[in-house]
Amino acid sequence: MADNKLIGHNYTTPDLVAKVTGKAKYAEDYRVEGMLFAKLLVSPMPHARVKRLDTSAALALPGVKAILTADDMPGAAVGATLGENVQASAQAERGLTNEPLYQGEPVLAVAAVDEATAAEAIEKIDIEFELLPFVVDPIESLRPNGPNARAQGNVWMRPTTPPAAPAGRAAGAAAGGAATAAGAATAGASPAGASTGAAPGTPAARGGDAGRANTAAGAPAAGAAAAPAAGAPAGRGRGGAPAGPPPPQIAVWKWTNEDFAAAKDGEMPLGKFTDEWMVGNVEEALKKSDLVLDETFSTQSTGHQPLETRTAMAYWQNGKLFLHGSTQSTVQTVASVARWTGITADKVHIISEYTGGGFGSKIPGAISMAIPALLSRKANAPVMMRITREDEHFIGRARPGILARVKAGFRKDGRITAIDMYTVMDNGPYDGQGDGRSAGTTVSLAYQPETMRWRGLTVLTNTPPKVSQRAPGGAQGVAIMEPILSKAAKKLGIDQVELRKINAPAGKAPFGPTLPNGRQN
Amino acid sequence: MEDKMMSEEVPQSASRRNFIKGVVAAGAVASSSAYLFRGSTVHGQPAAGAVERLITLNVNGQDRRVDVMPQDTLAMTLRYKLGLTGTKIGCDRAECGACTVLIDDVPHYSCSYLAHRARGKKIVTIEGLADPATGKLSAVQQGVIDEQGFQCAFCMPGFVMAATGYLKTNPNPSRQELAHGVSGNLCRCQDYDKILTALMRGAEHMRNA
Repeated sequence: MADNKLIGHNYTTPDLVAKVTGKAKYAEDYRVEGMLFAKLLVSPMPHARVKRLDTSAALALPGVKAILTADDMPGAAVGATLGENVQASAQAERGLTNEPLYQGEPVLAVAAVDEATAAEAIEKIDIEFELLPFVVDPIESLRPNGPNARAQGNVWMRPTTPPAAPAGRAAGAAAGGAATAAGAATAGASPAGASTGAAPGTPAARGGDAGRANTAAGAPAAGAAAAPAAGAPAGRGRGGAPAGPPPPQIAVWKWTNEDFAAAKDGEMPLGKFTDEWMVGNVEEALKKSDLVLDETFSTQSTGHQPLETRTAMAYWQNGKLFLHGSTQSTVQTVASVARWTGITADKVHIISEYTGGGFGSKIPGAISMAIPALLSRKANAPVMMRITREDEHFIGRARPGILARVKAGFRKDGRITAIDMYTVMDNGPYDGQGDGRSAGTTVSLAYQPETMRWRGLTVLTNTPPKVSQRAPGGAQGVAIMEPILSKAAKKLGIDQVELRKINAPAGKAPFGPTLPNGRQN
Repeated sequence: MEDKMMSEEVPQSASRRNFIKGVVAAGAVASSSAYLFRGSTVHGQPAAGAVERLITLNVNGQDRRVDVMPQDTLAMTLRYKLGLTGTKIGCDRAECGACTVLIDDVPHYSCSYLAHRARGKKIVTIEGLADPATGKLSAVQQGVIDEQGFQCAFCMPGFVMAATGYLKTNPNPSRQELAHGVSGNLCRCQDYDKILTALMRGAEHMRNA
């Protein structure tokens, strides 16, 4: 047997002593001589436009050194390349904005000699907002006259491409599958909330969900872009989407009054969907089932709320940016911060020795890092942006909530014959997330239904931005299915554990939609 | 206005924001040691009848002189004026426990304890647990090392201080009692089970010392 250095031995990880003695430094623990302190002015409204802004009184306050606004953020122009094949989009998150899309979105930042002065300066900002139509509930947005979260519309969808795969069900699934709203690694999406893969090189989603599942049924280059089953392009390399399927777009999508009327109290209406895949004939299987359950569940968008907020401290030396931040990947943060600040990666130094939790919300760092970076350049002094728990509540990201309606068919021995699952995902205002799709693929894997149909919608809302959170999509999918199985077990008189065993995957269990090669993953 | 806000009286209807605004409006000039909060008054001397700005805090066995405003919290003072960043700020509103320190052997949330109030008391932070001469870890710290407790460890200083304080009152707790003893500390990584194991091991070390 090989002589292992660590396996089979007791050892102390190199970080533990530093942590237990308080020597480990997190982002807010660093100090630089002459450091300024930044405070944010955040939107009081869920959707608004800045009508008037006068910062003169704030700037005149002794001790105030600089104010950063959305106009100072780079890459505002549509089509501008932000590096690494990522195109700027007018719809991308930028760190600061003049059209906040959620309550709590940062509009501007003030740097001053101390926090109290910065806070007072914020109070002295003369700003007027115009309230715009807003929506926080995806279902409300889908009503015929429901408000849209953004001017461009209320859903992410990929314009359908003609199926390139051979004709038949696979092609049908391919066309549907290509119309993913995941927005992964697309030229159109911004790097913010990078779990969708807008940030190049984003790793596979955390939490071991369907992970490697490739539901990119559409063959041409969709493979590079999608993998939204994982909520992220599973380990795709750098670079944005090559010329392949068109990037996702925001569109207007409404259900009909008939759709809503047809749904009984507590049932999710089954209006039109943007995405779908099917394996086997679900309708036939449901007809032949001994028990059919039709249930509607909603899972809440839950904030990541790492105990360490996304505080960041930045300064410049000899034209290079030094940024102390909290991140799940220092390597990715270098590329992302370069993008967000409009400089090249060789000029970015990221220092992050310890991170106080991220859970998916700090994969490429945080887009808010651009604020102290640009503010310190403007003020010509180091800037510490201490993110408070209140700030973090808004900008700290959240898991997308999913409303789902599931029809599940069971034989009397407990075997699941069919799952017909329709997910409506609360996407927040920015990048299209893949959780709805991952929920479907994970359920397909975890319960091995004999037939399955998944349908989905990615609805934008004026709520805090959504991003992968441990087991993206999978956690929601399982949370939705488990009560259904429990109910079935009771109705069928089968032991709860037995029921799961009967439907459990084994070995190289197939799951997800049929791929162009005719097989499931 | 300046005298009023520099006195020890706090307005009856003080909100946190008004408190801060009022002090700021006192027009203090920023000194070079202003750092997190506005610096001392003009000429560097406190105004007549004003609260003493330069105070002595006994931290980890050392007397430290520090310039603080009346509303400075102990957490901010430790972190920004005394170079002791081991104490963390998780919520700044007495909910998470990441800022827990010992004041006269009793765990307190330092984010909600005014620095001025800590004068004359014995303050111990995470940096003060190991033996200053030898660097030998305290019993609870060693328990954490032995059991590989904590993940991101942002909550660790708070938990270790809370446990250290609790064990002074109950050196031989059951697992459930110790869990209750540190129930004022949150861990978002959800490592509670391993944390408890590590702290119980620390308690064992303490008893065997």
